[in-house]
Amino acid sequence: MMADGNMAEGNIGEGNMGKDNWLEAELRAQLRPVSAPAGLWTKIQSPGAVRRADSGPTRLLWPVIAVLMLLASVDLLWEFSKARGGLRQTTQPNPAELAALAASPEACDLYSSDPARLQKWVKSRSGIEIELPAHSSAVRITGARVATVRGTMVASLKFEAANDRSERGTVLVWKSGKSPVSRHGASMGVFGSKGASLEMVSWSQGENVFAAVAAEGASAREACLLCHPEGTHGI
Amino acid sequence: MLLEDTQSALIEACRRGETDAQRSLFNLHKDRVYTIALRYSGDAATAEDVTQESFVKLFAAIGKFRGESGFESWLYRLVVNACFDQKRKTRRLLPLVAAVVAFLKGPGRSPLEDLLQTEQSSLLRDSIARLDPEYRMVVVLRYSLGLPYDEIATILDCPAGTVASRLNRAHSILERRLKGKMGRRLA
Repeated sequence: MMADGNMAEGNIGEGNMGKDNWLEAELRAQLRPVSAPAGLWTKIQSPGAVRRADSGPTRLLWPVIAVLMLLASVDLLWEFSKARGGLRQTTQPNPAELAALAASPEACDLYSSDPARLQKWVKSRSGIEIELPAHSSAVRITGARVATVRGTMVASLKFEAANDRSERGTVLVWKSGKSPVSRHGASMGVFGSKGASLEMVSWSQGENVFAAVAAEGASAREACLLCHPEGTHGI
Repeated sequence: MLLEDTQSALIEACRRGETDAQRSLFNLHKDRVYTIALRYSGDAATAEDVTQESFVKLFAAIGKFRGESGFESWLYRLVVNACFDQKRKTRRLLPLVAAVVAFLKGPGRSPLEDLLQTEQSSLLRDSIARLDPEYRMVVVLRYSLGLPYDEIATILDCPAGTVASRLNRAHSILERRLKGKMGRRLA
């Protein structure tokens, strides 16, 4: 270890010995060694001192706590908003999105008219359980695909009416996120999509929401015949 | 040699967690550690905190000391890091205020001496306090402990040439700051 005698090593400003001697002497005087105050050892031995010195991991813990608090706040807001029905609307597909999905030229992922096979395929891809009648003389399903709209899985079933016009349409099904309903009522509307006029009939059953969409003069109500061959209940 | 042997034995005992050995090691180095902390921070309370923190860290990490560098260099590195950390925490404090407080609290000087050297001392302390941390630490290690360049370099983990240039630069800055007000004495 170095002793004060080694100060002579300093070669700073050797060309200006007058000034530097004065400055170095002043620095030595101003910065001279001092004695530590009494009682420091007691402080070091106190548990608080150890805790503070071990604050490294604690410091690392703060960001984690902050993130957790943020997540908790977001979750709280989410739950609050959900309770008021606010976010539900944003996470559920809106009519324009449904119409766009129904009008999408993309082909079916599964071509089949077998209701049991379609049910099983939709369940495996989207978790949506639908009941399709074994046979319908009025409407025939031709295929299905599954898409995601606003984070909601939507099953799309293409149907074809067995009338002389062979009207085609799409039944869209997604989980409502609400409590299952025991009965279903239907509502109908006409929406414009990319210049085309679309007819949409929607209803709820169980935990699912259904929307039948048909374009260019076809009737979306034909989809009702899938389960109600006796008629469309005056919709 | 005897001192080194004693210190080695103390370090070994500290590794085993022996409190008496820790206390002896503390007594051996407390003044130098406190000096670095006080002269760097300019504040007695901060210096106590830094000293306390440095020794607690030392005893917690003494098992990791392998002896590649000298024990003192290793210890002073802990102190230097604690000083830099502490300074970051209290950056909001005005250096001038800290220097004045340190001056008022500074031990070891009689009131008469203080009175006589007030102007000169406060100017220099203020100038030291306003140095960049890297420059200030080199000045403190050099003039408070009288450490050679190579040891300062080991402590600060930089080349000895860097120590020399920092010290040179610190000298120039201090000289420039003091020249206007104490020109006659410097001439």
